[in-house]
Amino acid sequence: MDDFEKLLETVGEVGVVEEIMHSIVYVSGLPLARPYEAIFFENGNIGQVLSLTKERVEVLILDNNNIRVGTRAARTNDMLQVPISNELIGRMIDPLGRVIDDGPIKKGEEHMSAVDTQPHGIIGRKKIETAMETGVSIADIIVPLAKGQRELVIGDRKTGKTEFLLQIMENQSKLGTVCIYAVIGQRKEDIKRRYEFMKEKGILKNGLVVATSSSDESGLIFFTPFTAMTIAEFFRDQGKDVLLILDDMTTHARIYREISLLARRFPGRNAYPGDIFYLHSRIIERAGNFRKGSITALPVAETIMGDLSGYLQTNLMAMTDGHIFFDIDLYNSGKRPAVSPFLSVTRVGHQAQTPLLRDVSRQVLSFLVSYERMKQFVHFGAEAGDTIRGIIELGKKVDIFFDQTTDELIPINANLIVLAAIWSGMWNETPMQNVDTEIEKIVLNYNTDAEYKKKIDKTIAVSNNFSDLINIIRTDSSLI
Amino acid sequence: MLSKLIDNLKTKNEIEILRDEIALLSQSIYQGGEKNIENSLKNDIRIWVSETIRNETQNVNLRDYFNDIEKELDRIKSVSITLAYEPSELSVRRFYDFVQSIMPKKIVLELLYDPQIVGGVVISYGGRYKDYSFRKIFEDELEETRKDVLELLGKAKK
Amino acid sequence: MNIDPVLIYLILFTLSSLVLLIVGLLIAYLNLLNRYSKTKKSSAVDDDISPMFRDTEARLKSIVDNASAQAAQTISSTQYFTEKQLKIFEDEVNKSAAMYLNLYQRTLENLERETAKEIKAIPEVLRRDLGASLSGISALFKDDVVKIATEVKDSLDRAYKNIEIDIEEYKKTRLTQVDKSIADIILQIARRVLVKEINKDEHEKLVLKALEDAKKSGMFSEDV
Repeated sequence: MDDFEKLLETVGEVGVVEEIMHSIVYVSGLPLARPYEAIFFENGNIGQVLSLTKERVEVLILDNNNIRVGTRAARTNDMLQVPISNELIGRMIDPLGRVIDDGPIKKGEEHMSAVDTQPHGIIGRKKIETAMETGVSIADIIVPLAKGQRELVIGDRKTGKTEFLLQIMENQSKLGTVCIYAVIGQRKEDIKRRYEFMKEKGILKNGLVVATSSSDESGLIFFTPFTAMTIAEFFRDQGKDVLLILDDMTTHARIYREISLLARRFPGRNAYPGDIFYLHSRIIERAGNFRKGSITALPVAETIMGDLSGYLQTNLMAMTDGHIFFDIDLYNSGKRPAVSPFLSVTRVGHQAQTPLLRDVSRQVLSFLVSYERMKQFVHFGAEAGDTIRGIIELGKKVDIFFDQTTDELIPINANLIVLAAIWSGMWNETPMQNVDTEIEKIVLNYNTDAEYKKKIDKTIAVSNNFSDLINIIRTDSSLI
Repeated sequence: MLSKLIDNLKTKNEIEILRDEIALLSQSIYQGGEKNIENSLKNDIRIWVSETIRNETQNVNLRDYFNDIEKELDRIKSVSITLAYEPSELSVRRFYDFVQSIMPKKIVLELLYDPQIVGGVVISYGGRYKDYSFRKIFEDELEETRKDVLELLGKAKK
Repeated sequence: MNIDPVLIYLILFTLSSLVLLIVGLLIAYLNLLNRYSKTKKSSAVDDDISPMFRDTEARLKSIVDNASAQAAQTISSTQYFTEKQLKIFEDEVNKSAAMYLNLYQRTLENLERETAKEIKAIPEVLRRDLGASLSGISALFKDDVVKIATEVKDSLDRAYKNIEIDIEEYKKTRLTQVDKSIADIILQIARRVLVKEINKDEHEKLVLKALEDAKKSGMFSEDV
C-alpha cells in the first residue's frame, strides 16, 4: 500500500477500475498513460497498458489477486521491468522475476530491465561464424547450428522435440554457454520434471528456467518469452554466449489470441489477431550474433499431422534461419531423434562449418536422398543389383549411426571418424548388429582416451575433405 | 441552459438520489402514463424536486424531459476530495462554490471520509491526484528526521 | 640288419610313452612351482626349494627306471626276437633312456636354478611393489584429506557469508518494518491529538487552502 501511495504521489495521477473482463480491466483516469506502460493496483496487482481510448485505459493483468471494480490504479511512468542479476543462475523464476523453486531468495546486485524492448539494430551485429555443437549426430552433420542462429524446432506433439532440446542444452552447458529454458504455459508436472532433469545433468550450473504453467494468468504466460529474452540479453552483454529455448510459441500465440479476443480486437486468420507476426518477430529478432556475445534462439512450434503450411508455422519459419522438422512417421517407425533430413533446413549453419564438415554434410545428405529412392525401389519387390544392395547396406549403417538415445552426447569429431569408417567400407564384413558396438567403442575411446582423442583431432585437422579423411582411415586402421 | 435540478446538485451523492427519483418517475409514467405521475410527485419525491419538475414540464413531454436529465447527469464530472472530518452543509457549499467557480462546466464533489489522513485533503480530478493531507506531511518529515525521533523515543523510554 | 616292423612299432611306442611321461611330469612340476610362488615365503624359501627338487627328481628317476624296466620286460617276453636283436634293442632302449634322463636332469637343474632365482626375487618385487603402492595410497589419502579439509573450510566460509547476507537482509527488512510501525504510531498519536485540537473551522480553512493550491498547480484545467 505504501508503494502504491508513493507512486500516486510521484506520478500525480490515479485511475479507477470500471470494468473487468477476465484478464483485461478498463481503468478510467490516468490521463497520461502510454501504451506498454506498467500499472500498479491498490491490491498489489500489476498490469500493462494494452491500449488507450478517449475515456479509459485497457490494462492486461499479470497477477491472480482478486481485483474489484473501484480499485485504484497508479501509473509507474515506466515500461514493465524485471529484476535481473547473476544470482538467477540455477533458479526457476516466473516472468516477473520472482523465484518459484524451493531455494532461498537471494538478492545479488539487481538491475531492472524492460521486458519488451526494440531489437538491436544492424550496427552492432556480427556475421554468424562459430558453429554450435549440439551433441546430436544428425543435427551436427545434416542440420548444423551456429551461435547466433534462430532455428525453429517444429513437429507434432510427442515427437521428441523437448528431449532433443534438453540434450543440446546439456552439451552446451558443459561448454560454458548460458542456457535459458522458457516454459510457456505447460503443465506443472512437466515443468517440475524438466527442472529436475536439468538439475541432475548439471545444466543449471550454467542455466536457469523461466516458467509459467497453464493455470497462470494469460498476461503472465504472455510475458514469458519476453522475460527470457531480456535475461538472455543481460548475459550477452557480459560477453557470454547464450542458448535460449522458447517452448513453445504455438501456446504463446494461443494465449495472445485469447487476450486479443477478450480485448475485442478484430480476429484475423484462424481468429489470431492481425499483429501475431509482429509479436513473435520482435521477440525472435532480439536474438543473433553481436559484438559482445551471441544469443542462439531455438523457438519450438507444434504442427498438427505434420502440416508445415499452417499459419503460425509459416510465420515462424519466415522469421527464423531454418527449421528442424520432427516427423511423426519417423517417430512412429522408431527413429530417435525423429529429425527429417529432407525437410529440415539450416540457412546459416553451413557457413560456420569447416570445409571438411561441409563436404561431409553435402555427401551424406546426397547419399540419403539416393538411399531413400533405393528403399522405395526395393520396396516394390524389384530385384536389386550389387550397386543397389551396396547403397542399402551403407544406408542401414548410416541409420544405425544416426540413431541416438537422449543420454548420448557425441562430439563432432567422433561423428566424423565414424562416418569415415562407414564410408571407407571397413565395416562391410561386420554384421549389422555389431556396427552399433563398433560405433560405441569409437565414441567411448574418444571420450575417455586422451591420446586417441588427440590423434583423431589431428587427423581431422589435416583432412581438407571427406575423401582425404576416408583415405587416412583406410591406411591407418588404428584410428578405428 | 441547465435544468435547475442539475444546477442545485453539489455532490455525487445528490446525483445518485436524483437519479433514483427520476428512475421512479419514469417507472410510474411507464406503468400508468403521464397522468399517473402526480401521485409520485406528491408522495415519493422531495418537495423542491417535484416543484422544479412541475415548473419545467408545463409544455414539455415528460419522457423526453427525464431522458435529457439522465443524459445530463451522466455527463457531469466529479472532483473527489478526501477529508479527515465530516463537513457541515455550509462547508460543503463553500467547497463546491470554490471549485465550480474555477470550472467552466458543471461539476459535483465526491466527498470521501478517511480519518487516517489526520487533516488537510486529498484531491483527485480527471485522473490527476494531489495529496495535501497531514499524513503525507508527517511521513515526509519523519523521513528527514527519523534519527532524531528515534533518539527522542529512546530517551523517553529511559 | 632287418628289424621287424612290429619291433619298430614297439620301440616307437615305448619312446613316445616315455616322452609323454616326461612332458606330463614337467607340467605337474610347473604347476607345483606356480602354487609355491603364490605363497610369498621370504628367506626360508631358498632352503625349501632343494629338497622339493630332489624329491621330484628322485620320483621322476624311479618312474623312468620303471618305464625302462617295463620296456625291457616287454622286449624279453617276446618270442619273436633273437638274442642278438634283443640285446641290441635293450642297448638302444637303455641308451635313449639314459639320454633322456640326462636331458631331463639338465633341464631340471636349469629350472631349479631359474625358479630359485624367481622365487627369491618375488618377495623383493612384492615388497617393492607393496611399499610403493602403500606410499602411493597414503599420499593419495593425504591429498584427499587436505582437499576435503579445504573444501569443508570453503563451504563453511560460503555458508557463513550467505548467512551474513541473509542476516543483513533480515535486519534491513525488520528495520523498515520498525520504521513503518513508528511512523504509524506517530500518526495515530498525531491524529488523536489533532482531532481534539483542530476544530471544524480550521479543517475547512485547510481544505480551502489546499483547493487554492491545487487550482494554482493547474489541477482543474481541462487540457491534459
